[in-house]
Formats: sequence, C-alpha cells, structure tokens
Amino acid sequence: MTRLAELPLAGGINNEFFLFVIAVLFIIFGANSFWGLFQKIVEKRKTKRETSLDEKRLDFEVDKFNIETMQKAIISLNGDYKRVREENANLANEVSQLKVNYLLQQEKNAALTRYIYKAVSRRRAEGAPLIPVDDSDVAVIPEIVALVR
Amino acid sequence: MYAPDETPGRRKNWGVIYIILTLMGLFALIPSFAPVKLGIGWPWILAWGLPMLVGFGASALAAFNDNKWVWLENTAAWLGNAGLSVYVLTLVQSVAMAGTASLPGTLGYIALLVIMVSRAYRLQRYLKKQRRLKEIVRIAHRNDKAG
Repeated sequence: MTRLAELPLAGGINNEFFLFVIAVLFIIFGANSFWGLFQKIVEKRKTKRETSLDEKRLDFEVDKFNIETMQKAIISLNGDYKRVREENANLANEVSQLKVNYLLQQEKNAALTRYIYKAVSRRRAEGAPLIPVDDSDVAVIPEIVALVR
Repeated sequence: MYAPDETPGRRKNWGVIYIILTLMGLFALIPSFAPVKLGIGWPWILAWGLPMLVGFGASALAAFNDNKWVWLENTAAWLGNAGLSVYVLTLVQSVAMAGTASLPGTLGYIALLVIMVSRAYRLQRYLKKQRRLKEIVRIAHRNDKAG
C-alpha cells in the first residue's frame, strides 16, 4: 500500500498557484458569509431603534405578498403620500394668507369704527343732528354716508 | 425581475442537497472515510470538512424552516462553499499536476461548486432586495410619522 507521504499531493494543496486560488476563494466566500451576518446584525439594531415599526408583521407581509408587488405598491403609495402632503402644505399656505387678510380687514374695520365713534361724539358736542336730513346733507358724517351707500 | 426560489417546497429541495454536502463534510472528518487516495493531510481535511459540516449543516436546518431564516442559509452556505472549494481545488491540482483524480469526477465537483456558489449568490440578492424593501417601508413609516 502506498504511504500518504509518498503521494504527490501529500500535504494538501502545495502548488503556489492553487494556494493563491484557494486563498482568494476563501477570502471571497468568507467575506460573503460575514457580510450576510453583519447585515443581519445591522437589521436587528435598526429594528431595536425603531420600536414603533412592527418588524415581525413586516416580515409576514413580505412573505405573504411577493416582494415586487409590495415594492411597487409602496413606491406608488409613497409617491401619492408625498403629493398629498405637498397639496396639504399649499392649502395651509393659502389658509394662512386668508387669515392674514382677515386680520388686516378686522384691523381696518376696528380703525373705521373708532373713527366713527369719534366723529359721532364730535357731532354731538357740536349739537348737530346725527342722521343726515337728505341726500345733499353729506357733510354730516361723510364716512358713514359713504358706508351706507 | 429576477426571482429567487423563495417558495418553501423548492427551499426544501435545496435542503436535501445541503444535507448530502453536510454528510460529505462529516465523512471527510471521520478517519476511516477520509480520502486516502488524495492524501491531502489533516490541516486541509479540517479546512475542507469543518466549514462544510458547520456551513451546509446550518444551511440545511435553515432551509427546512420558514423564510425568516434565509439569512442564516445564506451566511452558512457561503461558509460551506469555502470548505467545498478546498476539496475542489485539491482535485483540480491532483488532475493538473499528478493525474491521481479522475477528470470527469473533478469536472462534476467543479460544476457542483459553481451551482452552490450561484445558489448562495441568488440568496444574497434575494436578501438584498428584501432589505431594500424594508428600507422603503421604514422611509414611508418615517414620512407617516413626520406628516
């Protein structure tokens, strides 16, 4: 029987080229193996951080429907959501503009009311009638006449 | 779009192949079954048998469970491939340098390694796609919370 040491390959891969090839293969395969493990750990950490997102349910959904369908649906829904949010922001802008206009108008009204009160009290002090007698009596309180018209 | 075999039935078929390869790794480690003809020595036998036993063993376990264990199947399959590549390279060297191994057998083992690497690569792509999908869901979820 031939002894192991006498065989040309005793000692395993001993050719330099094949040693190089096996080293490269080991590095590539080992790196892939560790990369998979690393990604899983990263995934776990993300899940831990985002406790509000139910990862188990997400896994279940991914298994139930196929990935492509969900991917398309989510991308489309996300697009819809972005558009709706944009519209919402535009509407909010319009509403705030209307609010500003409303406040400005209120301010104008308040200023006019104050002016009218002052004018009325001045007319009272002068002893003049407060209500215009006819259309030509525009000088009574011109602002009130203008408002009435 | 590329569809990896994520259905349980087909994963179980791969599980059977993993079991066969696990047994191959196991038998390499048992002295009475070790390939005397190649005479590759214990360090190489260990570098061949252990990763195959651990890697393909874990892959087989993962393959007979549900899809959430695909990550383990992927990680372990790469480890097993590393072990298998030692054996394949030994055969290739023995054919090229000494002619002690049979050429058809060696070609068969090369094909097996290529198939197993392609399987592991497909699993990796499947997992990458799944991670990307989850990332999209996370972004949508964050948008939802921000809105």
